Amino acid sequence: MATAHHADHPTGLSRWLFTTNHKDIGTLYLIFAFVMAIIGGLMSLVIRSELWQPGLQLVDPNFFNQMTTVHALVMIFGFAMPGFVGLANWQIPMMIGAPDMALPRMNNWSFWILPFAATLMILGLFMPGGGPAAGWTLYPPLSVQGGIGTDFTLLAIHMLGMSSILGSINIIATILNMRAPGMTLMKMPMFVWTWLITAFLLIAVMPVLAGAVTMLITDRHFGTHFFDAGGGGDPVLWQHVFWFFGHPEVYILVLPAFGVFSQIIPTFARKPLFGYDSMVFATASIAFLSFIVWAHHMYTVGMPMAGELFFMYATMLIAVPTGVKVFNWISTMWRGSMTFETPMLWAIGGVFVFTIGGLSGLMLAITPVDFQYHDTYFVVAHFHYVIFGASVFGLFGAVMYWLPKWTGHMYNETLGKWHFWLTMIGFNLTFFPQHFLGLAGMPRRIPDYALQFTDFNRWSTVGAFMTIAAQLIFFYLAIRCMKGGAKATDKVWEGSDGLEWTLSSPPPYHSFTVAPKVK
Amino acid sequence: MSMTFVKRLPGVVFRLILGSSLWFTVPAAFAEYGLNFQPPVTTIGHKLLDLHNMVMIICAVIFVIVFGFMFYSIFAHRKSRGHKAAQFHENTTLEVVWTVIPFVILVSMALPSTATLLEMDDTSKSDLTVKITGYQWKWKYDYPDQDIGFFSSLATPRDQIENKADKGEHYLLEVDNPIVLPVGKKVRLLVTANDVIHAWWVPQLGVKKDAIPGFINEMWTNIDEPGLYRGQCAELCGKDHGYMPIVVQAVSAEDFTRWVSMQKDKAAAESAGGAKTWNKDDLIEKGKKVYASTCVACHGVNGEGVGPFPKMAGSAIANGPLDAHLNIVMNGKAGTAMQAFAAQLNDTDLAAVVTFERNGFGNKAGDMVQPSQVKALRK
Amino acid sequence: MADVLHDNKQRQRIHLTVAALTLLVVVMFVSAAWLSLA
Repeated sequence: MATAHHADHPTGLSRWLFTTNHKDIGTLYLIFAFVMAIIGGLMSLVIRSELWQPGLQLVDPNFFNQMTTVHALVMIFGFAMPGFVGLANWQIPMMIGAPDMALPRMNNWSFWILPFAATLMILGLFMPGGGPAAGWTLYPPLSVQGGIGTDFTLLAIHMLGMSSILGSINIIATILNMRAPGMTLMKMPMFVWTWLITAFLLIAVMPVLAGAVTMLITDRHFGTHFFDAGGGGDPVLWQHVFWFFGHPEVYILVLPAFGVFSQIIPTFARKPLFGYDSMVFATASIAFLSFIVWAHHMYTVGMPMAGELFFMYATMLIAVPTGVKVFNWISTMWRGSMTFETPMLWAIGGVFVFTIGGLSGLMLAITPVDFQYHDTYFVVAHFHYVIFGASVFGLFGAVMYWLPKWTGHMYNETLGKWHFWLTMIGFNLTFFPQHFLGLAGMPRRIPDYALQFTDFNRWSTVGAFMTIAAQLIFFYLAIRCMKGGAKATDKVWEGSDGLEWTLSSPPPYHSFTVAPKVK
Repeated sequence: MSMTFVKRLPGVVFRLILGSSLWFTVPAAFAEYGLNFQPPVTTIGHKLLDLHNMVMIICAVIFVIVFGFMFYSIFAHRKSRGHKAAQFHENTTLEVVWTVIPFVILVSMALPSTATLLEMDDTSKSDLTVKITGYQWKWKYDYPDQDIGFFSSLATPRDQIENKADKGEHYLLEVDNPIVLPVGKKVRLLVTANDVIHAWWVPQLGVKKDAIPGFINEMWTNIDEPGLYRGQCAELCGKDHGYMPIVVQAVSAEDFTRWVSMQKDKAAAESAGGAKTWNKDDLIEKGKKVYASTCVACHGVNGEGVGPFPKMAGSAIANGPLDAHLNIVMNGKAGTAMQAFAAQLNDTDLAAVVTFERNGFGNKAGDMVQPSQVKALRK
Repeated sequence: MADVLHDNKQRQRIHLTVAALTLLVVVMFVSAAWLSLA
């Protein structure tokens, strides 16, 4: 059987358009994600600039609402999710000793939907009436009022959902069917486990979002009344269907990051992950529980007591497996022999920041007090702590951890540390004061505020600019690392363990064409 | 660095973390610095503050313990100190312990939370009922048993928002007509909306509930002391979500009764005003006030239009046939945010604002509208 | 170009996995629609 030589390692534009190689597709996802992060980050600066002081200085309230809406959509669907799919693509085949993903051509499709979906979404901002301005949660009847920009976003969400579903099918099919002989499920790296579970969450809930979005489209344009009381429907129906997707969605955002922490911490502690079996079980518990807590986003909607109490108890319960994971990470560090290169800083910092968010989440879970926190900046602080702490710190940690493997060059450690510390300080400066703003009574999604909220808003704005500016360091160091740097060994890190570290740095374009032996 | 310093550093840092966290958990200190809830004026409000403080202290203690271990480990178990890695990697007893203990802590938090929630749910045996309706972008308060009702809109002048005048003390937290409630009485609040979802929230009372169009939510409050209590809409409802505050004026029971009869008299005077014939100047003067509270958000201080909403200065409608102008103000425009103001404004206000619009902003329509004309147009 | 998969049994198992997951997707969408219409 002749092998066409040119197809072994294509070059040029058609390489990137038509690639079915998991490494190339992983790179495409990551580049896309970081471009979207810049766009979402700029929107956050528009928001924080308007909030520098009371009064309207820079934008009108309608545009401000568009910014908060699209900032969230871009960061969630454009940055975090594609970023982790990029990591999945690069790492999963190498970590399980497989030559590529199960469905390489569908893999290419899953990626290439994204730039079009993102363009559609951003284009909505330039339509008459502007983009969607009802919050990323798109509650009707308000979201029925929006102009055509909203429809652009709704269609974009359909496309993004399709990409995620196809990608998740691919990931599950790969993990279940293509592990090297000897790699049982309970021998898989944690990153692979967390992605396996995340992929199931995605398959279960993205179709539900698609259903909700379809009903919103028909209410807007085809005369249905799903969410219109006048027509016999109920605005709260949207909230139930949306959050049935929305709550598992937030675990979709953080579970792969937990997997990253579970790879990094043992490496730099030079000690195996503590409690592997418990970690798997805890992750599965979190995923299961995530399906039965959605209405904690809706405590003030007027649910019957039985509902309010059930969701309070179920939500509080999630703290248990989550806590187990945090304790296991710390136990991995305990009596290890730690060094603190940049990836380790991201992992430890991520656990720290995420846990703060987890504790404020516990406070939010408690229904009666949530009546005071709901729809205030306390919630904004909470979700930025958990998402930034897990997903963003996880993404940065993973990139720093695996860049030497992918490129064959060591990144500049000094720049890496500067990037980490400036982001860590900037992030906390931005969001810690927001807890107090919420407690003091500042609602969310407002472009202007009463005078007593000025000082903490100022700190928050300063922090936001600092955090975004710090990302320039990351782009510089990542691009420089891709171009060159000290040669990376196969193992890269003294404490690394796993099949990917048996490959060269960078790995061959097609790796594990012959299955490795797994002990 | 000397060995002694390095040895003692973890302990010092540990104590610093512990100390600063405890400082952060002295909640009473916080309210003055805007670091905790606003001072409550209801029993439920107090219970919520206590529950919040309890949960926050528990969380702070957990934080200190967990990160105490982590930071200690970071200092002591590092390669640069020569620490060699142990290789243990599981302990079932430990896993069980740190599953059960958090579970027990959660139960201890869930019990008082359940009790408070059930208490908040019991709206029975109330002394007074008030119906609250959220509009884009103001509130309407109706007292069905007293047969009075009125709108409550932001009173902060546009100038302050646009940075042309200094901001007042209660910037964005002041209204023209506060909701007046008697102290010491259990007040049942019915909450609904006219257009999109809003939420009614007054932190010091400890109440928040979504206002959902087509549905009625119920909650109750019992205010301990007279005073002014301020809140804001707590569900994104469009462009002016940040500009529809709530002011509760809590007064003694006698003052409340007096206020109710004053409101009734005012309502009677307004309907009487609807019967009389107005002169143009009076109509324009009244219309100016109505415009400033009801129309300015979308149509602009000088009728110039705001964002996607149309201008009124020199517009075809304001300068064209009176019928069409009255029709769009009274019946709104389907498919847009232009509401049917016939339901919200009385005959006199409608007549006045239309007269004002046709004679102001440089418009030259010149005519005026009598309240009786408006009344005749109503079905 | 070297085939990624040589093993027919593996191909079959992959196709079965994909079919089952696609069915799950359809079931979730239909459930959301059906429950909303009820």
